[in-house]
Amino acid sequence: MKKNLLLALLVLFSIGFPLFMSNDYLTHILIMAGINVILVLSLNIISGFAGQISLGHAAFFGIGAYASALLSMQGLPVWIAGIIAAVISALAGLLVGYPVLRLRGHFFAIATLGFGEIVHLIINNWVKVTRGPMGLSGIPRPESIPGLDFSQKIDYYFLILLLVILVIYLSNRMHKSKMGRALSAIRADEITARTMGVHVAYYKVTAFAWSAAVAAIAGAAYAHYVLFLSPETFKGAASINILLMLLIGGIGSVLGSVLGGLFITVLSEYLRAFAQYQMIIYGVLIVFVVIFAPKGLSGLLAKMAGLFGRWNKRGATNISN
Amino acid sequence: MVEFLQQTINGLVMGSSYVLTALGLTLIFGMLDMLNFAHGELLMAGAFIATTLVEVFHVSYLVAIPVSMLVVAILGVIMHRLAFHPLRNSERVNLLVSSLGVSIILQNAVQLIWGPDPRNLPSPFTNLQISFGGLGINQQRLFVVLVSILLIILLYYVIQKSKIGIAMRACAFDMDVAKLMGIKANNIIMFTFAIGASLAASAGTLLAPIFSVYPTMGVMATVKAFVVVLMGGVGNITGAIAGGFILGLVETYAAGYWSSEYKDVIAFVIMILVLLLKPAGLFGKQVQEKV
Amino acid sequence: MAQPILATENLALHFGGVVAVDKVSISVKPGQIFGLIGPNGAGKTTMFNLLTGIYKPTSGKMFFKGKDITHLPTHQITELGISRTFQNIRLLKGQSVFENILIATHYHLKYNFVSAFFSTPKYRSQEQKAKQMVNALLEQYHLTQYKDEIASDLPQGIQRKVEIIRALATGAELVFLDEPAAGLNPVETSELMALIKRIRDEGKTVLLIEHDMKLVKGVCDEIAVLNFGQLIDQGTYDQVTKNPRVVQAYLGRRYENAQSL
Ligand SMILES: Nc1ncnc2c1ncn2[C@@H]1O[C@H](COP(=O)(O)OP(=O)(O)O)[C@@H](O)[C@H]1O
Ligand SMILES: [Mg+2]
Repeated sequence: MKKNLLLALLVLFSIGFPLFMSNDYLTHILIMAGINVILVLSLNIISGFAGQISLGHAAFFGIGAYASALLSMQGLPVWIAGIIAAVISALAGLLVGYPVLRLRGHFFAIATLGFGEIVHLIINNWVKVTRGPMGLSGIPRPESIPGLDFSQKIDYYFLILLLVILVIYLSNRMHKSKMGRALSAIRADEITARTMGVHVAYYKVTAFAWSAAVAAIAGAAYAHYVLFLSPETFKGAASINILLMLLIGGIGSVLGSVLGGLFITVLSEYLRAFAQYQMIIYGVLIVFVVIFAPKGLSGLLAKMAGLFGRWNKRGATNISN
Repeated sequence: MVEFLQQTINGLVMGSSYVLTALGLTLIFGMLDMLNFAHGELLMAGAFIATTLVEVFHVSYLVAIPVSMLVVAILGVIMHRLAFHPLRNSERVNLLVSSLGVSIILQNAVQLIWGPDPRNLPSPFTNLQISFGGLGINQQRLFVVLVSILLIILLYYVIQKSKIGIAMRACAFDMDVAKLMGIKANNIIMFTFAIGASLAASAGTLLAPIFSVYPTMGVMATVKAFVVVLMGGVGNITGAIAGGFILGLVETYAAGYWSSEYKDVIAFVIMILVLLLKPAGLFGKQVQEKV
Repeated sequence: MAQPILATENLALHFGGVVAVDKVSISVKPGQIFGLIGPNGAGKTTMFNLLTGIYKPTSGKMFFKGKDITHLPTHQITELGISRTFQNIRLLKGQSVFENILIATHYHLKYNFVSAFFSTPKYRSQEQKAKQMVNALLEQYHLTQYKDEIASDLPQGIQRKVEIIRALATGAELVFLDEPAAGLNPVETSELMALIKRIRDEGKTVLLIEHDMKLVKGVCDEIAVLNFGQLIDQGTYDQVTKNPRVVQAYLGRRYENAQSL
């Protein structure tokens, strides 16, 4: 209950404050943060809910971005192009996931790493279509709809906010349904999940396809905002970055995914002034988080809320998950 | 024919560096069930240390190699103590993540110290050629292959015959049983990190005169080494040796006769095929998880 | 004669050179408590793993209520009505007792993702029914007080019980229990004995692997004895314990202890 209140306040704040403090730079950061949050939430479906660590998630981000950009450049409305891009990405997820998700342990992680590299190499080398390292420009903005004109940063911000809320809702519904429980069981112990009647392969692949589709939506949102795509954006380091945002936020937790995406985007913006040290600090932060706070920011928050609850003599409340 | 032989030498050069990098990785993977993403950074660190020794301190290349191997061995042990050892009882994925953190730290620390620009490590052999008939072989390449083979034989001997090697294999095969048999697992793990790190550093110092030295050179090295580990089967030394040479040769032939842009794709395609068709490695047999 | 609820025909599984299960043919009547005994390494757990589709047999066939289930995947076997516990307790790590049991209702929930997304009445009523069912089971078997505890943090006796209730919650007609008395004290063991009988009295069939011979004697209607993967005898407790081959195999070198059986 308390969590819902927190969420409602957050949403109100997100809608409200750009109206008062409109500032293009800040709005830009928030748009990028929103895109990252969607990406982290998408990774959370396969790596958090289902516990299958993916090291190639930027591939789906890239597939979404390029597919949506290229389709819309062929004349399709951006809205349709974005949806088709999500479907293409989901199909790619099915194609890769179906064989690979049968493997145990770290093999899925390594396979996704390979897949991410392959997609990056294709984007980089398929010059005829993607224009390779020169980058893809001339991407259209989303067509305006009544009340929103997406050449305005603030209007694009609202679009992203809406998408974020939608993906949060999707994640929560998934988590609270039989699918979410099946995925939790798979994450905990596949053999037990199977014995309890869970079709493990089906749920893993389905989760992977959802994860890919949502990442592609983040890709489309990125493409039609930045209006220029370069293969650099989708290389292995990007996949690692998404995973790290998820871990720092709190893997498996929706709130954590949101916090992780926001925190790291804003932090790297802030650390830009110390560019030389930024990445080192980042690396040290990662090692510290896994050693000292393996449940990430959301875990810390839950712990604090627990302390606060006890202090309030209401006993420890469990707000994790 | 000459062309083919030339490619074969190049393939062996790449292959031997893959083997040297993969050996430590496969042992650690087998022991700790851990993907160490910072492993390639040890190769990179080895190359940078050797370059500095030669360029700044005017040490001979032949001395720089063992010195940098030693320094990196220590670095490997420090890395294990600080970033991995504290996580020995936590979920496996945390080890992976911690290694990603270490990899980022090392890459950027090196960049801070030496700058991002590629460098070259001068070697006395770089400009020498040996010719057999029409075939001209660069001496550095020959040197790489010979030294690598020497190191690989040495390691193979240590692992197969020495007491500590047998303990290492026992730990890689089944850590819990090894502990029950009275093996001091912690020391063995530390020793393995040291050996693995110094082998990776040797690969870095050997390749540095041929390719350039730059802070992110370890990233691809790690990824390729994973491919080799999978090809050989996790924890399998012989498999890693065979897998490394196979990958080096296949990649080089593909780059020579097909497309140099897509040569890296081959490694990943091989990897995914191995995962799908022979998940226990090219030479391994699939075992049923005990329930 | 009633159709057996479970039957195997020359079921075999080889692990490399080890023959873990060697051409075993058994048949279990519905409503029985059927004991599967034999020394350590005899292949009992492997039988369970075969019958639940976790291992695939090298040869032979298995039937559930006459239906060939030899090639079915585990989750389908569960849907047909077979469930089990594990010798090494496998509760979902970090999940509460309630959550551990709720997962067993998985395949009874027939709503799809769209109805979950829009939280339709169908979704809500099915979810509510499943949760009520779990709560009723917890109440019925006196576990309500542990409902929200992390299952894997509880004492072993409770954990074993949670695993058994979880197996029941799948709605299985045939329940496999793999050494449920391991690690229990005498009081807990006698409670377990009552629990197993109660499961049978509710009309279910139980396949029981157990080393505690008092428990086996107390509850089993029929017993099969395995040794080195082979079925060496099948019959009532009194029959099999009189068979010198069984005594020899089961007690091995401790033959002199046979008198205490
Ligand atoms: N996954 C497996 N891989 C290899 N051997 C196995 C496996 N599972 C069981 N075994 C072997 O099969 C035999 C029977 O084991 P098990 O069924 O666990 O015996 P029991 O439950 O009767 O004590 C043993 O020799 C055991 O080592
Ligand atoms: Mg057993």
